[in-house]
Amino acid sequence: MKKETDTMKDEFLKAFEEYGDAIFRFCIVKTSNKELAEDLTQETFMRFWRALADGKKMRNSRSFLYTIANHLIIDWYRKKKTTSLDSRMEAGFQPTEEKGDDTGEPAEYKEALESMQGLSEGDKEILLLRHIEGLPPKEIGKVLDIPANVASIRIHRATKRLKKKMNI
Amino acid sequence: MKNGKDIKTYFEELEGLHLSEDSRDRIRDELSGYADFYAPTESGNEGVRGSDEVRSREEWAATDATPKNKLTTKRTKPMYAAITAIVLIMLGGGTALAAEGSVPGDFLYPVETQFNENIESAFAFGAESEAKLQSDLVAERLREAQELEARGELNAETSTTLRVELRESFTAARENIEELEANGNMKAATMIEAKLTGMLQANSRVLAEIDTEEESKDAKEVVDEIMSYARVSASGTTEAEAEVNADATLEVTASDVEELVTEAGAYLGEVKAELGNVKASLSAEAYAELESKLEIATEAHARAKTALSEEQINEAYAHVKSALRTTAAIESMTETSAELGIDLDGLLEVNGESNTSGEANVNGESTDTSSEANTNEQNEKQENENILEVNIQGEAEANTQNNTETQTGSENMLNVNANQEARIQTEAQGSAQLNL
Repeated sequence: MKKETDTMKDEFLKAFEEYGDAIFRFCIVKTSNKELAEDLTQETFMRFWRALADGKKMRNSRSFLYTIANHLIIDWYRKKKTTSLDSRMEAGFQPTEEKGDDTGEPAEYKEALESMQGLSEGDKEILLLRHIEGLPPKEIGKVLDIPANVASIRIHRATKRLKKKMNI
Repeated sequence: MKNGKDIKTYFEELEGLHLSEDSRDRIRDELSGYADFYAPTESGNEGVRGSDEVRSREEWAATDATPKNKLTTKRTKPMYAAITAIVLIMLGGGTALAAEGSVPGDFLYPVETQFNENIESAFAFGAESEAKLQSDLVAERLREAQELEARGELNAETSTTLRVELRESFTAARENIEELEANGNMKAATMIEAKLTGMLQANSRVLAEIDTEEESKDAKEVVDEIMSYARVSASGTTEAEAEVNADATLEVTASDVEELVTEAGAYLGEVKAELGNVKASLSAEAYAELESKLEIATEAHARAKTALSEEQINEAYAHVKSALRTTAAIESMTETSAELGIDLDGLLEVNGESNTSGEANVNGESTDTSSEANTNEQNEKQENENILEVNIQGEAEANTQNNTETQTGSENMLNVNANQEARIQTEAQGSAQLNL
């Protein structure tokens, strides 16, 4: 049992090495806040571990991770919107004003993130999953809990909107 | 990033986003510690969703709380959720129950919106249930607004709370409706959308009140957005619908409309029964208003049936939508007044207005019958009249801001209705709110 646990832990940490950045990207694009994205990434993997530890079988760790992250972000938005402006300012969560500056990334990424800011949450996540993480529509459908053909339509529309926004 | 760079380059840039070395190491350490602490269970088979065994509260509390206290040194938002959950679990769910029905400003309100509703959301799978749930949440927020207003507690602070929640649910509902449409599930999309629109229309006055109380740009934006949705989608041309129509593959089918007509009939019956149940708690005038509105809905439903039997699918669709919307508005008003014991003071104006528009519509209807374009036009016309902006304007002009003068207000409104109609076409919808 002990040995088995260690193997499992190794696999788990390997998954973090492999997918940590991808989950972080997903979170930062959706929240525009580096620290928050890090916290969400950590929480995502903690939940992933709990599922593993509890013996949950999963066919595709990667889309499972996105699914967890997606739910955490949805929860975060729900809570964020219920807190007063004062408490939000105290907590330092001001995505729209902090964007870019807080990511600690080179200038072009800030710009890249900013282009995405004007897009809806739905557009952002689907573009990221499709074009950056390269998930096929079927997987995206699983992550977002929508049918694959709906995912395809959304990808198509979101790409169109992004193009329009970028004047290309 | 403007011109010159293509989407691919853009995504390649985004792809460069990654965890910094420090953060990566820190998270890795914390995860490693967490993994040691939360070791796999012997049975390897309990806990988390989807298992057969149900963990005791104590076990949940222990497994969830300790590692977090021990490991999480930073402020994490998710942590608060976990703590809230643990506290609630330890309290045995009584709090969650008590929190239902709380309104912004109440001590337990965050429990209602952050905990109870998130849990509901976790069990809502797929666009249809999510759309329904989110529409219900919109309705819930509006009910709270009505209640606060009745208590005289609808102020800048409670308005803000409501407004942010309202927008969230509204946006989610709209996105899910859009998804249903994209998915070709026109029946569900239409049902939910029509109900949402009707409900929004019935609550237009309190919506405007939120805007007035808060007096912020954000509030105005949200209220405008919601009102324009109620208006635009009522006339059958939301952006989503326009897109759907453009896609051409996603058109409403005869069987969709048939089912919608059946469901609209059942819905009408339900609302009628409900209205009968609460008759005693309504003023005679309010009841009469609601009943006459019910007649309008019944009539629209009958027209949908006729059109369907004549195989005028689009016409039937327009009528059945109208019937559903009106029914939803009646339902919302009935519930509000029955639950809160609010005498339909404010709501009456909405009623009176729709009533006249209904009559106007009947007249229009009898002259031109079956052309599709005409149906749409009439529909649009009717909806324009139905819209809250009209009411708000009527209210501002005729009612001199005094809710107690409802009766005279309604009468005056009937008189100014003709003038308003011309003006509505030209005036930007937002201006009505500015008048307030």
